[in-house]
Amino acid sequence: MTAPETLVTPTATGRSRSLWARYSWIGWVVVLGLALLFPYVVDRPRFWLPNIGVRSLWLGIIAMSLVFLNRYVGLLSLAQVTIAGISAYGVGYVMVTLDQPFFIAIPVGITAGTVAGFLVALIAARTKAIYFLMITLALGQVFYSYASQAIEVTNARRGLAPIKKPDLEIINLNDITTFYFAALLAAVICFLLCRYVAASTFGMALQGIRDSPERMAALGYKVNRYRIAAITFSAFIASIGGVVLVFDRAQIDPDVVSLGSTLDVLVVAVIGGIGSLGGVFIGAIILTLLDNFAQDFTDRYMTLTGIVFILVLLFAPAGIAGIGAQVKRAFDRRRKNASDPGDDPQQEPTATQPTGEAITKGKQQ
Amino acid sequence: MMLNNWKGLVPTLAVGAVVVLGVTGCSTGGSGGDGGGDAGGDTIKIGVLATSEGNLAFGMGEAKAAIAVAMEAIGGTVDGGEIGGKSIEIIYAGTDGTSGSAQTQVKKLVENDDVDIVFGPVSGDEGEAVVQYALTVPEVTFVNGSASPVGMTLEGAENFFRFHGDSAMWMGGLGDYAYDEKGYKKIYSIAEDYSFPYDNAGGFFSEFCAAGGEVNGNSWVPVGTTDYATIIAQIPADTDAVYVGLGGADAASFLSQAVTNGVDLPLVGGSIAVDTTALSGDANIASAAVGTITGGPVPGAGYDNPEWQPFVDAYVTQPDAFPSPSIFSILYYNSFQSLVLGLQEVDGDLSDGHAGLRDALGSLDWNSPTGQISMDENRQAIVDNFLIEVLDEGGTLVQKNISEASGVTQGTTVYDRFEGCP
Amino acid sequence: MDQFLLIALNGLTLAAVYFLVASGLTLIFGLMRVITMAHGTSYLLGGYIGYVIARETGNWLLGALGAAIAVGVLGLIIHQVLIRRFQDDDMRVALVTLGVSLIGTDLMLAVFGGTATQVAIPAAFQVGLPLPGLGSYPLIRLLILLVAVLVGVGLTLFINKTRYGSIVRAGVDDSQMTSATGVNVRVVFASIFFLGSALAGFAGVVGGTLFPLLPGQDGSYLLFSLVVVIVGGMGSVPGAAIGAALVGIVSQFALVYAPTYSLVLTFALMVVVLAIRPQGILGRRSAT
Repeated sequence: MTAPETLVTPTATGRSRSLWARYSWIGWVVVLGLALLFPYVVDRPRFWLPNIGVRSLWLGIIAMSLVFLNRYVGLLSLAQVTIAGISAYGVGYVMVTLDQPFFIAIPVGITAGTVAGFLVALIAARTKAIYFLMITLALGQVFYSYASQAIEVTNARRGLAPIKKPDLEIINLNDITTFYFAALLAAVICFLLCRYVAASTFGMALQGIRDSPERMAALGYKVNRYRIAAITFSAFIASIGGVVLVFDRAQIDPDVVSLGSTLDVLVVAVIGGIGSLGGVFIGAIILTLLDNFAQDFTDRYMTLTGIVFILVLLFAPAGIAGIGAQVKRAFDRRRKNASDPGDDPQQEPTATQPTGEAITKGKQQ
Repeated sequence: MMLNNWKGLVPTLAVGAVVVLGVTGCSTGGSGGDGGGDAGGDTIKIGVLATSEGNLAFGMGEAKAAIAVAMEAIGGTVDGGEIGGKSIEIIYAGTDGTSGSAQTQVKKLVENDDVDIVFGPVSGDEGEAVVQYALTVPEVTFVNGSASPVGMTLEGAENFFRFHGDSAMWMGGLGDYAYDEKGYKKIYSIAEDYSFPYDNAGGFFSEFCAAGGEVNGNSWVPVGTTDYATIIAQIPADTDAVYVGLGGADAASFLSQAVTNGVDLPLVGGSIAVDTTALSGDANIASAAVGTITGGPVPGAGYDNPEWQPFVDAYVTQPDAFPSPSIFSILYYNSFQSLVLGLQEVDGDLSDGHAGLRDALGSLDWNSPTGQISMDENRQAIVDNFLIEVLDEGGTLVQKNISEASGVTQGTTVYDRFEGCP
Repeated sequence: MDQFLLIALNGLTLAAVYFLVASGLTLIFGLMRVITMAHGTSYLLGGYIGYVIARETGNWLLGALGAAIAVGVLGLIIHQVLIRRFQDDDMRVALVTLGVSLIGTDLMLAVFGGTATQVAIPAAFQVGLPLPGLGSYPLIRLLILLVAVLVGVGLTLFINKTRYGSIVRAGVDDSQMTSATGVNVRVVFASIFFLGSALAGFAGVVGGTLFPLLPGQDGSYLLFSLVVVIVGGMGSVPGAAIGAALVGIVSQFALVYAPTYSLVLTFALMVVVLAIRPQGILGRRSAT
């Protein structure tokens, strides 16, 4: 809640951080190992890989771009799906309409998505968080209506198809396992890129601006330019998600950028943990599982999703990812109380942080 | 306050690992359970795609009613039965009418539930996606539900069959009727701006223009347009009739505003403009709808095919049935019954990559409740089409059968948005 | 010229419906600085309730009243149970109400189905009224315009001229200070939430009389009311009126001159306004 929280954290939690830092790589290896093994342990890879695996990956990448913006800039954007969709349309247009190969299509798609994100930033960067949410939602619908109508560009509701996966002789992405690994690679790169940017001086400045724009402006930072750059960067990440999406679906039509898809990604981000870059993949896996299997036991799948969504917001605002942290905190506290009660007064406030405000409040300007 | 960089990461990963383990565990459990349809050889699994969410959410109920009628006739139920000594298992997958949802569910049916035959889907958007998918799984046979884009049977999918007309064929005979019998010379077109109305209106106007008619204006409105007051004001004074290429809520909206705005021109309806589903939403549209002529695969009252009434009687006993069958239940029934006939012909033998079944389906020729159904070389049905007029009989709207155009074949023109005549 | 006037009048009457929906949203935002994303759901639910009551009793007014009260009470419950405890956290309120709308959409689909319905009005209202220069114009649209004007004037007077309104305005400026003067701000918040939701429910009946009610309308009307309040300036009732008028007129002209892109143009209006005046036409600077 208070401005300097994130800046304080590294020192305040020095001891526990080093502990976690020492072991965190084990967790990473486990997850990555599981992800790598995934095609070989499931019984029906032709179902699990596209429907759960690849779909979770691109949902996760797009949700990660949303989480990045929320966490480091304090803006909740509902245009990330639209940006991914623009990137996907870029790929589709080049490959289907212009009949050009994928190595031209992919850069064009990513560029289109990133430029679109830049334009969104120009329109919306000056606004307060809640405004930003509404404006990005409305902008997303502008593009949806456009995509549904513009026969010359998007082929309206029919969409662009087929968008064939590239075959690179040695690596044939038509093989679903290979494609899964390619998507996994894209997700890992996006994740590392987000982490790298967040830890750079640029990322530090962003967090400073998020917490106290006035102070940063007084220090001579061009607050708006930083925000625009961050929104553009997150659009770049979303665009990569869009490329994976379009090759996975093998077609692109307006449904990809509909309100429903936007809500899907928001649900993924919130359930996974809207403050956690990695948590989105948990959210994505949960959503795809629900999507595929929930109707086996209930007709009211959307109600179920909505209830989970609200419960997460009410009781675990840091998402499923945050539940891990909540458990760990409870554990820490008990251990601490057992060993030396009343020690380290600074530990307590930082330890309670993650539950308090997973959703960053916009209080810029 | 957000999760800080490193704290909470390992717990996050731990949770993630549990989820992933759960996923894989879950899947292995699944495989033990269903054993695989092909391997056993005694069970034929049919996966049904129908809409259970969104505006077409009643599609699933209609699909089940239709399938139940067909299955009960051979001693089965909505969930399966027996053909030629093979047991039939029917698995349902609900979609929301969008292509993405259809892609997810059709993959689930084929890859996870291991179905031999996919039956469906409902909407055109879904249909185009399912055909694209069918091309990638040649070992599975696809029988279309009610998706009607012209192009679907022109994609060259050898394993894809459609036992009803496409949306251009649904207008077959109406253009001539409007020009010759009704004497409409100039028609103004109001239609939704997407592929279904393009094909539907294209089918009508190509015939109407060929007969000598003239289109004196087109309004292509975005789907979901609810306010037609301004569009109605655009209709030129010398217009003889208005073509209404709208469906569902948009059609109901247009009709009710045609009443309030005092439109007294006769209407020519697209195939879904005055469907049961549009009329059963009790908007006050009678005075606008009366006199409307329309074409489509649904026969009106007074249709004298002896196969028709038994079907209607069996339909209305189903749970969730409408007072009379909608376009979806009729198309689903005809298509499913075609599939049943094909399976009966080969005694449920799916060997040799379904070769026998596909030959049987491709050469099917039977008298359905809506007339003779035979197949062309694109595995597209040649069907009867109905011309209907909406009449007011004692306060209730009745869709009266005017005539049938029999043996309507596919025109193979995929229409796009057009101005004037297509 | 006639044509031009006719389109403009169509735009204004359409704007009447948009205004009725958006006024509730802007009222809630004006006082509490939160956005309820379930506003479209309130609209559709109100329409359905009004439809059922009007069908059973044959009385349109009773339907409108019942819908307003029912949706208002529901809004009040949602406010008390889900929103009140983190009312200061605008993002969380937006997300929780979004969750509510997910559930609402699904349950309404389960109950009312996917086919379109419309709230019935007596046939006597379904007639054209001769207007000078325009010929016959639907009476019902003019009545709806009149209702919207009455509601707009009423709300403005309520906020600017009554004691309760001055409490509301004081609560907006400084809720702590206001409660220090002995006013129970919580009750004020709750009652405004009731009023805002009730307006959406009422708008649903009015809109459902002119246009069909069906799944998906909740999303559209949420979007339209968001665009209206963004254009007009959040928190301002006159702003919502101006925003609604602009959106309505632009959409009708676009439907004639660029039908393919009419929705795009309607939303583009918002982009233009934001580029020139980020806080909206009548918005206060602090809102940005």
